[in-house]
Amino acid sequence: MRTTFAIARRELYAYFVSPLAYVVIGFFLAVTGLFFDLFVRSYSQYTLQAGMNPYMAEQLNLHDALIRPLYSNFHVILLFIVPLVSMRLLAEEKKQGTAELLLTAPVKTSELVLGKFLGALSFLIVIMLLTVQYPLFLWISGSAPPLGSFLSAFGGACLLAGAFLSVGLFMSSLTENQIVAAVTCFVLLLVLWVIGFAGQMAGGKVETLFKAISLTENTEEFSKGVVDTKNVVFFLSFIAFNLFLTQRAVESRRWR
Amino acid sequence: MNSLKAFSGPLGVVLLLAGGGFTTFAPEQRLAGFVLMAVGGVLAITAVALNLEDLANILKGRAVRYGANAAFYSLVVLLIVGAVNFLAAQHHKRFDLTAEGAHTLSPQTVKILKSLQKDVELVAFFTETNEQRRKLEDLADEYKYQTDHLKVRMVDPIKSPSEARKYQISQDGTLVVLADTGEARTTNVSEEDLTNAIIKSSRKDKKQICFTTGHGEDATADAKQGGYSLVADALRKENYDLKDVLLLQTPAVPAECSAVVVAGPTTALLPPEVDSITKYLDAGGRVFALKRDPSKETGLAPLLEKYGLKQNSDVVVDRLSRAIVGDETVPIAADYDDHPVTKELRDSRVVSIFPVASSIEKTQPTEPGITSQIIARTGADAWGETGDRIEFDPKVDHPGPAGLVAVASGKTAGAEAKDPNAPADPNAAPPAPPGKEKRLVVIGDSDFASNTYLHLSANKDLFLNSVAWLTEESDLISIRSKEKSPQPITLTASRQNLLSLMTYVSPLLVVICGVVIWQRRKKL
Repeated sequence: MRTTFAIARRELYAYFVSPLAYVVIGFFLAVTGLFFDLFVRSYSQYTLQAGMNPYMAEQLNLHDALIRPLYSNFHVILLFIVPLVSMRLLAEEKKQGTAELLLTAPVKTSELVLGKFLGALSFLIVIMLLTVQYPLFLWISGSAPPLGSFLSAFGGACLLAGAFLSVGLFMSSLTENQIVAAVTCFVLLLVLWVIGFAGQMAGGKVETLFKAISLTENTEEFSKGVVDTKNVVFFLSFIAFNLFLTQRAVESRRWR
Repeated sequence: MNSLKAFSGPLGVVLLLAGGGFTTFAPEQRLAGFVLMAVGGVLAITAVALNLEDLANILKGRAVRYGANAAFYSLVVLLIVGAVNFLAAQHHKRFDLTAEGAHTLSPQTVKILKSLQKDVELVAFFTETNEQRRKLEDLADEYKYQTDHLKVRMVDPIKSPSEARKYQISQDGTLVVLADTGEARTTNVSEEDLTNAIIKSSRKDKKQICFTTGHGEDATADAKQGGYSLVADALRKENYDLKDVLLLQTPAVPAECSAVVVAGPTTALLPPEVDSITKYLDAGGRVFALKRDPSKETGLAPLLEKYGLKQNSDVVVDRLSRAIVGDETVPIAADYDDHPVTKELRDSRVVSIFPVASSIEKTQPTEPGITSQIIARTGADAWGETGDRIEFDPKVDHPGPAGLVAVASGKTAGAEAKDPNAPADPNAAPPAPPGKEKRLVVIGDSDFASNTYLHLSANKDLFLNSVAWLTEESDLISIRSKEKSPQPITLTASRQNLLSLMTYVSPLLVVICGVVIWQRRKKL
């Protein structure tokens, strides 16, 4: 386990010394900030209108009107940045020839894979923690921050980031070209993202199956403020399966 | 030939996939899908046949052996993951973390859903762009979590006009609840309306609640502040029929009345009226008596005495209320008994609030076989004030805790004597079948359920639970859903500045940080 954390720490450090990290964080904050700004302004306008209409006042719900759409956009942004974050993880080692060094070092493949994963995941979580300023703003604005629902949405986003990342890591283990890793990861994530809609058109058993493996469907409950054990199990097993595949792919370098 | 050898394989696979896609997602193009799959299959077989030698060589290699091994293990792990997820989906638990319990259903809804014995179908007619669609989907998720008997089907009335015509849908956002006993519909997406539609669809008969008139009682049609229109709407939503009865014009209480409500008369009922109500109750009827004001008599005192209850002509003074509602003459009942009407109010620790009430005392019933009980009372600090000065005088005032809600029940005579083998006598008087339960609810105030105060705390639940207990609709006795309270945000100028600061400055700061670190590392 010590080796795993050492690798994770090294990975996290590597992000912060490269300019890529700051570009990614800046981009992320700019986009989420812009959305938050828009949402809050329209919500405030809606509040004024609702003063005259009791039916509208009923719809004034911080979580439904602010937190939930904010996190929906957040997920889409993750879809774009995770391939950028994950592309170099294993592909770079291969390209630079350090993979041989790693494989011959006294490190188990599983430790290597887990370390890389945790390092990148902590980088993503650091980025996401920067968005805590939004609920803080709501709190300063005098509305009780919907803490529970925020935590649920945030936890959901972390699990989703982990799921995205595990796909990215797997793709990165299959190639030595970072661009190929990023593009294949993005395409795969997109497929898993929209598979629920495809299922809706098919209907029946296919719909049930596609919805069960759709990443969108599985994050929806978290964004709502509801933690369902089946969604948690889905994400954890999804991540575990991808890490297993990655470990197999790295192992395969020994006999290919 | 060489190009066929090289490209037939990939082309075959692509055609197979495309054909599969067509048959799955575009059933109307199924024939085209099958043709594509057939061509793809032929191509794939050709490819295998042409590349047989190469394939055999590859298969002999070490990489294939290891690869097959890895693929096999991956498949096994995938199956395990699938099984784990399948089990997790069957036995899952949900936790609502929202502050206001936005995704937690009210106890009543849960009770109704758990009591469903047969399948109920909810057909929701929503266009793609309907804003209420997501609200309904969220709500349906919670309903389906509670019961396996609710089937939800979303129908877009624009895409399926035939279905919309079948159910005669004229408005986007209509919900139709279909049970084998009937159907109910609503156009309002809320827990209250959906649950009530389920109640309506799954009940065959409507029970009739009769409100007495002629003595200035609270009128069910009165939509003004002091009227009873809101409570009447709530009753209708729970599938009751309401009827006004002028007892002076009828020889007896109509037989179809499942319960009679005497809602705060301003003048006392006349002896013949009291007589017919007493007869109705004695024969296994259900009566709900509410007193308007301490100074206004209901005239029902002899009936109450018979059932072991006494309504005092005092004003309940509650020191505690001064701090909470700002008036001592608005007593708060927080102490409930373990009775069907109040059990859930007690469990969920909600109070009911009575603006100016008289206290009720328990006495010895003069009728045999009657049990009476005070089920909601004030705290010990309150008392029943009989004078003009608000000061407790132990000689004349009634000491606290003051009873505010009381019930009495018993069985009509002859329950034990009933012999199932005795031949039925067609000439016997039908009004009093032996062993029939008679029930009475008495409340020392009628205003608590008026339009002004109905939505205060648990007042509505107390009234509806009383009616449900009287009419033996035990499914309906519960705590009903409440609308969410609005959470407004008003942006002042300074907050707008802060918002802009957050939006534009924080990403800029990060980029500056990045440039600085990058420059420093360049110098290293």
